[in-house]
Amino acid sequence: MGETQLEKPVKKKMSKSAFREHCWGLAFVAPPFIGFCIFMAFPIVFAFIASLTKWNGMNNMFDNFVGLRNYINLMTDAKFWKVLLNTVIYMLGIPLGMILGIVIAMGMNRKIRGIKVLRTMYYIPVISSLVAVAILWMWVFNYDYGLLNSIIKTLTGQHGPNWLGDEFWVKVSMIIFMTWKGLGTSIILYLSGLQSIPKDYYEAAKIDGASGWNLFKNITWPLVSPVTFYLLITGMIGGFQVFVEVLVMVPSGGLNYSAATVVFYLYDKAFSNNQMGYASAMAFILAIVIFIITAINFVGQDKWVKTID
Amino acid sequence: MAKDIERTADVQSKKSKRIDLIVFILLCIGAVAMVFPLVYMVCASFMTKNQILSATFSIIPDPVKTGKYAEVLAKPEFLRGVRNTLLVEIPVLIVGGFTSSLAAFSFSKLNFKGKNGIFLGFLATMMIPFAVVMIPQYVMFTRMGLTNSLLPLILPGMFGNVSCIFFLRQNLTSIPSALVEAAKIDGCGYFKMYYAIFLPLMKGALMTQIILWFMGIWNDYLAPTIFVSKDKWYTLQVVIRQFNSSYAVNSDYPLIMAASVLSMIPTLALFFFFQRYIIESMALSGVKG
Amino acid sequence: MKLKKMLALGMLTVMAVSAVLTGCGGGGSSSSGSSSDGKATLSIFVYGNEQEQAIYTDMINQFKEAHADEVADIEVQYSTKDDYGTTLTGMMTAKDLPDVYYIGPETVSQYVDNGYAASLTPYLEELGLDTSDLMQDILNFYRYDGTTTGQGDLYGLPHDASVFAYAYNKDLFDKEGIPYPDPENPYTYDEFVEVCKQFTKDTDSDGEIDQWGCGAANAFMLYQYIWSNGASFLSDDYKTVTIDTPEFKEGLQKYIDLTLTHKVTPTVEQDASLGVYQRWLAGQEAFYACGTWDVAAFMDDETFPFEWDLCAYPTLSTGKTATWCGTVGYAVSALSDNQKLATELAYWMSADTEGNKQLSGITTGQSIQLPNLVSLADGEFRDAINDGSLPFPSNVDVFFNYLNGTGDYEGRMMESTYTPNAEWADIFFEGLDNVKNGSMTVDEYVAQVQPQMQDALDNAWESVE
Repeated sequence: MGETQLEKPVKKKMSKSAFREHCWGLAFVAPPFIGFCIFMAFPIVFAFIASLTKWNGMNNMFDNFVGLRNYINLMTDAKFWKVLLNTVIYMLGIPLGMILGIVIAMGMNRKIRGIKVLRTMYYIPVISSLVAVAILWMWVFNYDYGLLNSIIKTLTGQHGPNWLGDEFWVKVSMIIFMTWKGLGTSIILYLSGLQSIPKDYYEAAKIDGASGWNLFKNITWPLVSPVTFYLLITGMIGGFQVFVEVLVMVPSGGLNYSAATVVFYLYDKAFSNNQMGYASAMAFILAIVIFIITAINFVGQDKWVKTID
Repeated sequence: MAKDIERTADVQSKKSKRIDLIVFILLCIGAVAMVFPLVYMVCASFMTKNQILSATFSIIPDPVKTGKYAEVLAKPEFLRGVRNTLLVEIPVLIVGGFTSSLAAFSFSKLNFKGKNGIFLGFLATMMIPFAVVMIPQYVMFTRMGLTNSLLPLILPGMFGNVSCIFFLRQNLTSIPSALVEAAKIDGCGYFKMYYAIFLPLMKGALMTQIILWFMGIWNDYLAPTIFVSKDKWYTLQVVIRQFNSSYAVNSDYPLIMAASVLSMIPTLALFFFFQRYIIESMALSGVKG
Repeated sequence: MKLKKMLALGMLTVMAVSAVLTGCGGGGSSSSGSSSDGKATLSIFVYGNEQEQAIYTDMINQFKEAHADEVADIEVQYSTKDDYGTTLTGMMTAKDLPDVYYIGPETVSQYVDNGYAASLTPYLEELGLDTSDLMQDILNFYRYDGTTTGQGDLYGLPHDASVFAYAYNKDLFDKEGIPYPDPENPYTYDEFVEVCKQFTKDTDSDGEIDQWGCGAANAFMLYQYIWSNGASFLSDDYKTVTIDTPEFKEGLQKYIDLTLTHKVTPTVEQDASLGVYQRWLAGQEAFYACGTWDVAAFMDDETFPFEWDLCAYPTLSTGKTATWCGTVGYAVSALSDNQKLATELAYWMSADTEGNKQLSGITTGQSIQLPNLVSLADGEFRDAINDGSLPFPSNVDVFFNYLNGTGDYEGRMMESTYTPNAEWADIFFEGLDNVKNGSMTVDEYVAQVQPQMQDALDNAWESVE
């Protein structure tokens, strides 16, 4: 405390009542803080140590230090790069969801009756259980008996693709599924973003003779940019962690591991092949990637994220 | 001149009404497409195995079989799954709701050193992938001998939930801090201040958060599948997944669909009753987050 | 202030760590131990379906009664086959092992080296328990001398010896008027293809094939073709991937040809719609496999409403019909306080006559495994099948022929049994459908996956160095 005293003598003079408040304030946030230490901070330290070992759950972790070898091996692990690429490809669903989301939200932002019912319908997939709807979509994508191929056959007379069994289509399937599951969120968020744009902005622009597209480009899109930013960030953080969808719909990881994601591979390594150390290293790389991407987003946001003043 | 403007406005409103209609129809088509798979799921649960696996596609069950629902409800593992899920929900929501709201109150209305640092630290944890802590937590729970119970699912939640704290704190900012000063002058203790003044004030927001949390726990699959090793403690989502793997062998898809439908009813019902609050709370996250 | 916060964080972390460590100590003592009257409490952890669990519970209760003076209680934990390994690894991580648990041939050396499995040999000798009636070839999988498996002390007693034989749907043969396969004279590959072709047709003439000669499930049915062609996935020391030999490629090609050229199996797409196993149960395939564990289920009309029997897989260049066998055994925890008693329990589960009669179906009428005891297998087991008290396909010898390598029959363990993990094999099977659907040739595929498999295999061996 000695140094702080010299620097900030004011703090020393914390009154008795202020000190009491300080103590109570800390006490009230203590439970989540302790929870954080036990279930986050300690595991992170543990995972980092584990990532430096050849630990397989059975042997003694501390006797099997291998330094950075897990990380080096990961860099040359073709399967790791493959699952990373798959994971990134799945994120193509983020812009797709955004475009559909804003278009539908703009449609809903008109004064039309029954919007609430429609809004609810779009939102139902979001609150549905992931496992149950993944099982359902597995059936929707079935090659011979699935909903999707039946529709395709009725409409075109052609047999649809082998959705979950083909290296290309399995990714399309997953993107469709994830977009369907998450679309409600982007609609709701964009809708509330649109509703917060003052009407006179548009009036003023219309008087200046701006047309529909220009209105969208110059007013709507910039002013919902905080929502877009939020969707981008949460979408990417979530996108890097896609797992249960794949586990339920393509339990094998797909033809040639074409559906597997980073977390899927990690889970496989940790709990099927007992390579806990290697899996921990992968988890750390994943965390770093997420951190960097988020940081880039936050730094870059000044360039395009506008706020309504 | 005035008439001209009126006429244009008239034409415009007619035109805009027509656009409204088209938009409405398009939105309806989209909405139907969104729920169609779910409708199909309900229909399929009433079909026979043969109808689902027939070469010609149909959506109306023929004949209508309701037996699968009775069959699912008669399976002990299904009801056990519901029970286990509720056994997780109740302590987590009660204790976790309490600790979260207490912390939110403290973050929002009390002054203490390191407040902002701790709060930002909490927010940053939302960025840490579960995959990083999953293996150590698994080791921790096995070493403590907890994997033969629901405690690995209950304990972490009891310490509070970051997004819940965040939303409640956001909600409390709209309540004047002068209340705190007034209470202090009345000699009111800090816990009483939370309990008697602010808890009632954030009741609505807290309920919304608890409902969302309830749905989150209800739908969670990953943590139960990793941390719970004994089948008698499996939660509903794990049971549903197991149904899917074991009954697909006999192609008993109606049963699987019926089980899935049943598992979704509670969250759907909650959503229908509280959708206004849920959607408001969701919207808040994007605008203020 | 900052320092103080750091300290607080450090303190909390230390607290968390110590909580974990003390929890560990607490957990370890709860599983095994002795009660005040000197009686021991044993624990056992196995997997099985409901039917198997009922039989195990019964056997365990009998053991408890027979040893009432020594055993206070036996805690039984069941799991499923899929989850068993993960849960057991968790228990090992926690150093909280049950007294008796399953060990596979592939894990013997790891479990012994890491100090989890106890040697049974001294206890068996002390107790005078005889293992000579058990199948010796199977028993040898559980021997380990510290460097090599197959010799030295016993670390496990077999729970079972399983065989993945071929089976055919008799009703379909009758319907098509085709003579039943003869287990004495297995089909050659060409004969097999010809027979299969006769079954593959569109029965309801809607333009889609809906009945096939056989179903081909890659991960379970390729080995038979590879081995019968004199090839193998790995070299004899299990350190090198040898899928680029001409024999391997030829065997693989013939397997692929069933789907691609001869079209006697469902296509990859059809398999994606409804699995080949599901199609067999639905009576759409003339041939499919039957494991020793499947017999009770296949004899049950609820699951499989057709007449069926066992037969042999087709033979390739070696003229031998081959398939894979498996075994899992009971190990005794090296951490147990009651190793001697636990060994007795393991022996009871493995070699007890009554238990063997129940599991093999002699007394229950439902067979989920072959008897472990040779005398029983040759005697009462066959008698029960012959007099009809045990529902069983009449060609039961197919199982024993594979297991004992009689005549042209040959049974082997999958090669992943001898490697620290099976990732190299997973890699091979992950992309095999690309060959099966014609988008890659065998040569291209082998060239593509061999280096990846070798990498995975190297890593696997390195991980246990």
